[in-house]
Amino acid sequence: MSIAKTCIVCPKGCQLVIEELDKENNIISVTGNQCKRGEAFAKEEMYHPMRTLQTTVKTIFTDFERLPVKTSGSIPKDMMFNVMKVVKEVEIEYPMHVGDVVVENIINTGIDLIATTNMRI
Amino acid sequence: MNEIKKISNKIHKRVSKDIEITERLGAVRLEGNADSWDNVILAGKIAAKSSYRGVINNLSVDGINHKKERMPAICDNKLDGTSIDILIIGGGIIGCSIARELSKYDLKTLLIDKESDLGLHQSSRNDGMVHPGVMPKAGTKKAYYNVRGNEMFQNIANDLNVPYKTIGTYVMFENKLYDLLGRSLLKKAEKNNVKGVRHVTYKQIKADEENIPDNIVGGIYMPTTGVCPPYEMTIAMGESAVINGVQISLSTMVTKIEREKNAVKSVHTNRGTIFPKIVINAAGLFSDKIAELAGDRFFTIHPRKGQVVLLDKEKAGYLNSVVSIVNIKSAFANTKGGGLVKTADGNILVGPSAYEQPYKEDYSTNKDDIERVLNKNLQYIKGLNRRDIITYLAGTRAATYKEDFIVEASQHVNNLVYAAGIQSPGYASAPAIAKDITQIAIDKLEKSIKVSKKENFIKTRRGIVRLAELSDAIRNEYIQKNKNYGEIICRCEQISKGEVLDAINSPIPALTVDAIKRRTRSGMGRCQGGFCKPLIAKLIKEETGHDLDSILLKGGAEL
Amino acid sequence: MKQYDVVTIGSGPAGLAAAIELEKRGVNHLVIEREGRSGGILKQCIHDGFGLHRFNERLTGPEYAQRFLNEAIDRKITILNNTFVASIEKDDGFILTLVNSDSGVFKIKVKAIILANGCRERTSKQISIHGTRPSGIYTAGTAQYFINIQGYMPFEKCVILGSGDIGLIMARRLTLEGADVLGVYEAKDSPSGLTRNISQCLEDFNIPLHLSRTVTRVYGQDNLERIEIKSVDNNMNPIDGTEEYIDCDTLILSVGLIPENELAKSLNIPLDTKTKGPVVDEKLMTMVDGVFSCGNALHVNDLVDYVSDSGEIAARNAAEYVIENHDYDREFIDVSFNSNDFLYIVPQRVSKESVGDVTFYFRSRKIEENKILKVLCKNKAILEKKFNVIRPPEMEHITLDLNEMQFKNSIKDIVFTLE
Repeated sequence: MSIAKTCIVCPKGCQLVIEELDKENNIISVTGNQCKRGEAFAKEEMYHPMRTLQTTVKTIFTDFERLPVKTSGSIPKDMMFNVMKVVKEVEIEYPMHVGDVVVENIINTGIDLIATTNMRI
Repeated sequence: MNEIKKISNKIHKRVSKDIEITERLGAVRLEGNADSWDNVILAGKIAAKSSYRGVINNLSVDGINHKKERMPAICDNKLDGTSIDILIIGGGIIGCSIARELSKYDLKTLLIDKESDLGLHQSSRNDGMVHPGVMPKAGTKKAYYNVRGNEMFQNIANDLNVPYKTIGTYVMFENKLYDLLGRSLLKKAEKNNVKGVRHVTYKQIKADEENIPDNIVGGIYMPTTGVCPPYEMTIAMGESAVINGVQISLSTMVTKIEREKNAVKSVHTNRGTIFPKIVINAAGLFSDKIAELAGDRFFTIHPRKGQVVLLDKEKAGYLNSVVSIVNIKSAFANTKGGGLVKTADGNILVGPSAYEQPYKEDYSTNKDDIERVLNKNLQYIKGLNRRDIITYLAGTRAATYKEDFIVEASQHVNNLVYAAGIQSPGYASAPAIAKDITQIAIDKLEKSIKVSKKENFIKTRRGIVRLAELSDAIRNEYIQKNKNYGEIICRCEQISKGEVLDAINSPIPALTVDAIKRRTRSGMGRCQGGFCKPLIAKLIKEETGHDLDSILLKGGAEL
Repeated sequence: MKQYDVVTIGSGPAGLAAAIELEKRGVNHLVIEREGRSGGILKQCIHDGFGLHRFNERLTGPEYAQRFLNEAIDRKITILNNTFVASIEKDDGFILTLVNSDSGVFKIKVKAIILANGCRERTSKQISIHGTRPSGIYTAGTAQYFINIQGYMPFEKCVILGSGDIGLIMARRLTLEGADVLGVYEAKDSPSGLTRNISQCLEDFNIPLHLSRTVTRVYGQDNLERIEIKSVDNNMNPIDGTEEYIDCDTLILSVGLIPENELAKSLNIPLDTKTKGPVVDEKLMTMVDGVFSCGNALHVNDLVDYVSDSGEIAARNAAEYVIENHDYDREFIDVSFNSNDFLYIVPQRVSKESVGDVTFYFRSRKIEENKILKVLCKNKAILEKKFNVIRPPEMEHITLDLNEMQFKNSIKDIVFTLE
């Protein structure tokens, strides 16, 4: 089995061709990448694609209604919508700063949801 | 052979034999089927040539389903059981002008409109031109009211604090042959008593308008043409009426009219039943429907659509007045022929077009017609092109088949008065129509009650201040008194938070982003609301507590 | 009337970078910002991908902006928020008339101006979409503001017109927020955005991309109900008979950005019709002495890193301009190119007195493969660079050592070619 995938690690966007050589041992061959990060991305993409997620959470503040947040690392791609569900229930009640943890270990991914801006009220 | 027979023969010959022609209420009535809308119109026009006072055109066309008019969603008892002296149906420029005129008297007056704001039909969809009154045929009501209204406009605009500019019209000719046409225009002007209309040479036009094409040989100048933002004037009239005690109820639509012998007994609406002594039908596109509900329909509105294009203010310097180039065909058409208009706000408006179609509320633009408008009119001034377009819009005219205003008391319903079928030049005519309608209504009222003029009529209306147009010093004073005037919300037009709040809190409150746009011009600039829409929506939400869906007009405009 | 050496108009990624550079150089300066919070458009660009060049990290828009804002705060740079530039006049330097709530209408006098006021979005009327005017039609930036700043998300069934980065980002954003994005339509025959965005915004969510298709008409009296889509020919004209109708309640327009240059126009600053921003020299100074342009107001960038770079370049030169205080008597070498090869090149001119390096930013007119870019000076190549692939949506740059240009005084222009 082989898939074509655009690498999303950096803006170059290399067109990868990932071929599965040995399904049992998860061995693949990658062509089209211009660096090692592309190779690592290809392996991940084939067997357990990961993504970072950025969204906003609501706050109680009328002059700063939404706090932009992001996952502190990548999470499994198929858990993105579950994370979005949890995010809907969050409400920020005091001003936060870049890097502050908004939700710790969100749905057991081991990854936190962190603030990406300073709220200065 | 009687007239009905003559009309029948003509229609049967030229249109279709499937049409039945009879007489009703002094008008010609057409029933049956036509195979196209053009033929519906043709049959109507043939019937209109008769001496009957109107045409009731009930012809249908297979495949054309007249959509139901847009109805308010709200349903309550707000007005139930209300007894009033005068009910005005219709909140466009005509209804609002009448309301203001009536507010000079000690009367209980109520104006209703089915939309969520005033002037949402013809009155906000025209070029704002206050015509000089040359074009209407002598002896028509159009001619009579246009000239009188034009003379009254400047003073009223001053009182109501609405910008008015006298800019004049140049009707230009490319060919010496059209000099004959020029002479006929002068004659028309004379018959209609329009002042100052005269021949001008190419040189004279060029002195005023340096960008006219080189092949112009001369033209006719009509100095009394004015421009005034129509929606602003409509709202100003409405506000002035409210300031002087008139009640205005929006999102209020007439569903039924109850008659008792020769009079209207009550008017049913989605907000309750009203008991008026006098009813004034100023319902524009729907004035025939109101007549029908009163059992008194002697005319039919056929909506003649038109589209216009608005150019960037950057090109404001290219034109000062109204210009058009006339040829034989347009001289005898039913509309002013279109051209280029320098609006009071400084945009150049291109058009309008005019064509018959069946749908009263179809305000969709389409590429073909816009192209025609541009191809015909852009050439009148050098240096204008498609890159200057910022927006385009459409409107429909409330035209009767007789193509004249209906300004009169009903012949059969003794407490019903008509200011109906008012199409162009209705805007220019509004102040004069309002005076006559008011007189008719008061004459009727005085048969049963005493009507006295108010002593404390407030003729002025402040409106919303336009800070960007004030001097730095005065603008500064405003800001010192109210900080909100210093926070700019719409950066294309430099409209402040204070101005937006003024609009939300005005006598006829603006509760949607579009309503704010009409009152302050925010969202009308280059970015067309891209930056300011969310900011204004938030302000309305904070001031009124309404949700963003209704503020942004999702789900209809009813609040 | 307060006086300053330099005023920076705008505190987005260009203006903040400029202000920090000005502060470092010790000039007396002020930043004017019309919004309540600084950061410009980055405040609503909550996705990541920013700062890879500058910080070697993948930051979100707000994080990128916060880096600069923190430094500006640390350096105690004065930013007047909620302040609007009503007008500018030339007067032995410049006089700006400003408006805000605290001070009302007031004037300041400056020696130099840095225009960092960004860009605006192209509207539906400018691309000839006809029909009614229902709610539910928004440019991508406005929709992004509604969702990310106000948390207003009424969009359910969406169609996106335009495959530029903003449109692609919004496709993903809308999908994550629960909307059904029916497709992205692009009038050109190739996508306008970064390839990785096609991947992570469309492919990830199985959102189809339709090329050579555009929206021509919308339907719905109060709310959007459906749209008409047509195929387009090589000249991007809709082809009759190719209509397709889609029921939807939201149409997002991502159809181009236009640099904001009303203030520049008011000073009679010549604009480049290709970039829609001012014509500038290697100092990023416009053709009016003392007025500098940077960021998206100069030309629309893809990467914010270059936006900040341009802010620094403008600031460095604005500082030099006020410190050295000499009368510029600029003579220029024009940058020439074939418009079949390039959409534009910035800067458009190089002053003959200039020394050192100049970085030129440019976009090719179409997708090209295996091309060599040559800069010719009197028909001799002074610089060559090979490009495996060069695409209009991906702005490129090369740096030229001006010392390579000998006998500068006798040169009229340098020519960029793509072979």
